[in-house]
Amino acid sequence: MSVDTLPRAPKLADLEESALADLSRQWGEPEWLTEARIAAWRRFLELPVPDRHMEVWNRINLRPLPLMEFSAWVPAEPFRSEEELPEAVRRALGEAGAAHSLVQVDGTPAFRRGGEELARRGVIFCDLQTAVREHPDKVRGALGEVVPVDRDKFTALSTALWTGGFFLHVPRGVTVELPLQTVRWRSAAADATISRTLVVLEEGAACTLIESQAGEGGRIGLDCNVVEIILGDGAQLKYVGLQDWDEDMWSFAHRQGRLAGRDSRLTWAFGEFGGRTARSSFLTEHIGRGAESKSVTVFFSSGVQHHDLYQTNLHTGIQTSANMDVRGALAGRGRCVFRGDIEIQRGAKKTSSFEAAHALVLERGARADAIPSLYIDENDVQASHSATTGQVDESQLFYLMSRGLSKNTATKLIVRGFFEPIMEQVPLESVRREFERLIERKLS
Amino acid sequence: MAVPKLVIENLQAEVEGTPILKGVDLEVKGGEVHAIMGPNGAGKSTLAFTLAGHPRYQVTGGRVTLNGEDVLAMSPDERARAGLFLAFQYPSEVPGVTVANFLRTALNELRGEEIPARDFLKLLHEKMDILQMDRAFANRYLNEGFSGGEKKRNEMLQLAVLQPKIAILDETDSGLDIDAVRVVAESVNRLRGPELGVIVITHYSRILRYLVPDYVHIMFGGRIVRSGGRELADKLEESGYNWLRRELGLEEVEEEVAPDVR
Repeated sequence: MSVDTLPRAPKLADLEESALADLSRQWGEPEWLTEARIAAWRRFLELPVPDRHMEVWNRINLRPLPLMEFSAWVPAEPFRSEEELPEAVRRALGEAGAAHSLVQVDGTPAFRRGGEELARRGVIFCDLQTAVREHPDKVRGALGEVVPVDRDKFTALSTALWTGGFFLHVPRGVTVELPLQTVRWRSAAADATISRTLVVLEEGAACTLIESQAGEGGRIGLDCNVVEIILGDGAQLKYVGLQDWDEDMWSFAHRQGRLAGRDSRLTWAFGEFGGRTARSSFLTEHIGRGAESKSVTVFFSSGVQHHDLYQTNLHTGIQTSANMDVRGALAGRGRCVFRGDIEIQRGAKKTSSFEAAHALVLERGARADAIPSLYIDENDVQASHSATTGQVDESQLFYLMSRGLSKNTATKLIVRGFFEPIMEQVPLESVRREFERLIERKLS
Repeated sequence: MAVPKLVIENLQAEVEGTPILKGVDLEVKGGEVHAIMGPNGAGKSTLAFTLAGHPRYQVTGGRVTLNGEDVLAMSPDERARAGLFLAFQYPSEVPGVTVANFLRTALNELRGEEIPARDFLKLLHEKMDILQMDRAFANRYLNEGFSGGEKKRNEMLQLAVLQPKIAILDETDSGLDIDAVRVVAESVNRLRGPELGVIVITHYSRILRYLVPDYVHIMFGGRIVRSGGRELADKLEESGYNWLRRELGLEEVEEEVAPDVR
C-alpha cells in the first residue's frame, strides 16, 4: 500500500501517535521502522522550533512558519506516460542523460525510466518505501545511522514522517558511468512533502547522483528532506542537489556524508535557487584515512527569498582533505546567510581544509552574510577561509555600457563573469548548463 | 555612408559640484584627427568622460551633437550605438568575461543582430594580427592582470572591431614605451578614413609623431584656448606650456620634467 491510496493526512497538530503507528503498519513496514518513527515523532514534538537563540539558526526567521498546520502528505497520482510529466520534469530528465531516473510527485513515486541494466549489476535504485519492503537488510542498520534523529526539529520530522525519498545502493567495485537521477516535483495540491534518502556505496563503488526539486507553487508549502550518505573504502560519489522550488516554499534540507572508508571521495554540487525560505545544510564527516571531499555551491537569492546555507566539514581521520566553495548573487530584497564551519578534531593529523565564499550584491535591498568558522584542535593541519561580498562596480558598468551594452546586458555579463570560476568546478556539463539557465532566468 | 560630424558647443560640466569644463567648442568630422593637449588638470579627461556619458560628470551647459543627434540626451550605451567610442586611460577589469565574449556581445548590441561565430572570429583575428597580439589574448578575462601596454592594445582592438564614427583616445599613449606607442598609433592610422573622426587626448606630443593630427587644440582651465595645426604640438614640445601661460596672463609654474609617469 502506498501513499497515493491513502486519504489526506491530518494536520501535524492533529496527528496522533497511534495513527502514525497504524499507518506504518499499513505501509507494510517492519516493526523496527515503526518504532523508529514513533520515537522520532516524540522527539519532534519535544524539540523547539529553532529560533534566534540557537546559534546556527540565528539569522533565519521561522516565526511565520505555520509548521503544525501542514498535512504530512496528500495523495498524488502517478504519471502514466512521459508526455504527462510537467515540462520542468521532462526537461530535467532530458538534460541529465541519466542511466536511471526516478520521479516523485508530492512524495509519491510517479514515474521511472531506465535502470534494467543497472539492476543486473546489483545496483539498487528505488524509492525508500520499496527498499524497506524489498531490501530490509540493506536499509536497516544504515537508515538513521548518519544523521541523529534529534539533530534538530526538522531531522526528527523527516525520521518520523517521511513518505518520499530514495534508496541507492551500489555494490562493491561497481562503477556506474552515467548519472542516476531523482526528481521531486511538488504539485499545486501539495501541502508538506517529507522525504528521506539513503545512499550507500560499498568499497570501490563509484557513481553520480543528481537530485532536483521543483514545483508548481501557488500555495504555501513545506519540504523537509534528509539525505544520508555512507561511503566505503575508495568509494566515490558525486552528488548534485538542485533546489528550484517555487517561491511559496519553506524548505529544510539536511545532507550528511559519512566518509567512513579509506580514500573515499565525495563531491557535492549544490544549486540553491528556489524557495521562499530555504535552509540547506550539509555535514561531511571525514573519517577514513585519506578521505576527501569537495563542495561547490551556487546560489541566487532574489525577490524576498532567504537562503540559509550551513556547511560543515568535520575532520576526524588522518590525512583527510576538504574544499568548500560558495558563490552567489543577490537581487531584489534577496538575502543569503552562509555559515561555513571547518572542524578539525585532535588526532586528525595532516588535515587540509579550505573554504571560500563570494557574494555579489546586485541591488541595494539585497544582503549577504558570510560567517566562516574554524575550530581546530590539532597542530599538524592546514586550514583557511576567505569570504568577500561585493557590488556591481559602477566603473565596470560604465566601461561595458560605453561599448554599447545596455545596462541590463552589462549587468548580466558581469554576473556571468562572477560565476565563471565556480562554474568551472561544477562536476557535470549538464548540471553546469542547468545552473546557468537558472541564473539567466533570475537575471531576466 | 555619410561623413560623421561631432559638434561640441559651449560644453560645461562639473564633477561633484566642482566646475571643470567651462565652455568647450570643437567640431570633428570623419577623416580628421584632432589632438587635444594641455597640462594636468586642464579638463582633457573630463571632456572625454563627459562625451561618453559617465554618470559622475554632470553637464551644466552647452550642446553636443553627432550627425545632428543630441548626444547629451543619450545614455552611455546609446552614445556607443550612435557611434561614439572612448578608449579608456584606465579601463576596468571584468573578471570571468573573456575579451572575445565581451567584444562579440558588444558587436551584437551595436549591430542589433547576432554575428555568426565564424565571421566574428575572422574579424577578431584580423584585427589582433594588425595589433601584433597573440590570439590567446582573446580568451583572457577582460583587463584582468593585463599590463599597462596590454590594456591599451586591448582598447585599440575594441576600436578596430567595433568601428565607431568618432573615437576619443584618452591618453592612450601614457605608460607605453615608444614601440608600443608606435603600434597603437599605426593601428589608428590604418582606421583613418572619411568614416572615422579621431580625438587624441594627450599630455605629450610623442604619439603625434606617428599619429599625425590635422588639428591641435590646447586646453587650459576647462577651455580650448589655442587651436592650430601640428606646429602647435611642436611648439609645446620645445617650449612647454609656460609661453602660453604668459600669453594668457597666468602665473608660470615649474613644468614637470619626467615625461609620462603616472
